[in-house]
Amino acid sequence: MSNEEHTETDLMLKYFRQELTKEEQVLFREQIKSSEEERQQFNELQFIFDATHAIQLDQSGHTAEAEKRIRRKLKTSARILSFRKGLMRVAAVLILPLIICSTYLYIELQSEKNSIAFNEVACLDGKVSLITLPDGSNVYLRNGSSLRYPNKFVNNERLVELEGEGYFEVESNKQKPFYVQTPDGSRVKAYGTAFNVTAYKKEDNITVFLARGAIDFTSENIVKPVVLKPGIELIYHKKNGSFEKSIKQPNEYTDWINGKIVFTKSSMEEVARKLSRHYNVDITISDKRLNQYFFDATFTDETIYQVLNMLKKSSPKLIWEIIQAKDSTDNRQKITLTMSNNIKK
Amino acid sequence: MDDYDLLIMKVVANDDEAAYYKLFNQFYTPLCVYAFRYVRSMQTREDIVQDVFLKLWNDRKSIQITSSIRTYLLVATKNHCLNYLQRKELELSYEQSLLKEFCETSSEDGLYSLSELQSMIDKAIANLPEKYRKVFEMSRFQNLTYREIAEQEGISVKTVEAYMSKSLAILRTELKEYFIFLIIFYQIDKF
Repeated sequence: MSNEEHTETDLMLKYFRQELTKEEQVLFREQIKSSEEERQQFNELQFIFDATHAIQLDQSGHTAEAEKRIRRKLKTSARILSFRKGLMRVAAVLILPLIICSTYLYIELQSEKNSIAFNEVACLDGKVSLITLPDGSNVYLRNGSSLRYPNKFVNNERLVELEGEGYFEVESNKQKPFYVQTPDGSRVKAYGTAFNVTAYKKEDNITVFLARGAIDFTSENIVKPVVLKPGIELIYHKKNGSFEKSIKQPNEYTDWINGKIVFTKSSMEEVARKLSRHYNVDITISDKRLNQYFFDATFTDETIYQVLNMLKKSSPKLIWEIIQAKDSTDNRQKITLTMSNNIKK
Repeated sequence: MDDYDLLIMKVVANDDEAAYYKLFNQFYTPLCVYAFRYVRSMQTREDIVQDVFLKLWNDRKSIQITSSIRTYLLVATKNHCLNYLQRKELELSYEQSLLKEFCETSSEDGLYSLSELQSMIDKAIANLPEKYRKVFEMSRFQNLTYREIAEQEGISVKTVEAYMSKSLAILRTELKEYFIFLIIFYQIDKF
């Protein structure tokens, strides 16, 4: 084997380890473009990597887990039909408890040696909290979210910790990068810019949207920082470290600050997730067909009932029901969405 | 017509749930891996393949399977993925763009079941020299990085790389018949 051949194979193996640098990626593309033999080898290796990956997933319980899920799905579609009538009667006598609003703040004195105090602000009402950080940056904090930050930024960084959703308007300071750390250890790095971060502990994804400026996103599972451009949304999947980018309308991410909920071509899934957060309720979709529905709407002062009824007006087949919670660990109101012609085949 | 086509016939004709779950167990995970060509997120890929199988059960009475269950599942998964991409306007990753450009055609009809994959890989791996096999298994089945393997085995990262590249070269020869089968199968299906 000549030296040259050796480096070519190295490049291919590096590709499969996802370790190619930007320059090498270009080189590698040229390499497999250039010869039939290279392509054949690439295909064969891809096959081996796919095959072993599938076996590894299966051995770690992937298929078994999935089978449980599909069994549940096939069963639920049968069960909902038979119980819906009963549930409607229960729903009629239930009244939503008032969403109690309160914001609290507590100061926690950390280690005495550097005498930095950490503030933790939790926003527990249906409203939005505005926090001004020591460097003049502003943070809008969504209902159910919390932010932890020091009373002064020392060293050469500005680090805050977010659980939930916040919109950041960061004061420019090239010498002191601004970091938002999420509960799983991922970080958004910014200099002077405006962006939105959604990172709830309970949810599988972290979403970052950049309104202006430039930021990058890093996480343990990501090889290199992901750079974001304005108008781009990044969805990061905590479980497997994958991510995807898409183009979004900025007002979807900024209007919540003014208490608005905006949907632009939003899927039912997205609608349910946003309403759950906004009203602090637990909305689940039990009919997959609803995921085919997309909504354009803006809500401001409506109650969750009014919102659901308006959604129903635009999609008459939609049915929403209040479910009595069985487990006491989560005292949020539970609501499920189904469709009216849910007929078992 | 193979064993899996017989299973789908049982599903269609007798509403045979056991046969349905057998198909699910054999093809679900390989399809999730295949879907990476289109969708990066594993969670989304799982949702998509779950939908493909849900539809298979719900529409079993009206379903048209013209060639084989393998082709049906592959094409259905591909179409679900393309629909998803159309809705989301996502950018393809570098890996995906390469697969799209150079890999798509040859794998179009080559869906192997888990037990087929398992037996072909087992047989091929058995022919690797012991030290190669160990490193290969640690990398591919235990998800260890080269550095971790090097540390655990007390060898250098360079040696791990060399063992991996030799293992893969041997496996390519061992698995030749399946690659050929893949291509022939593809051509026959086209006519």
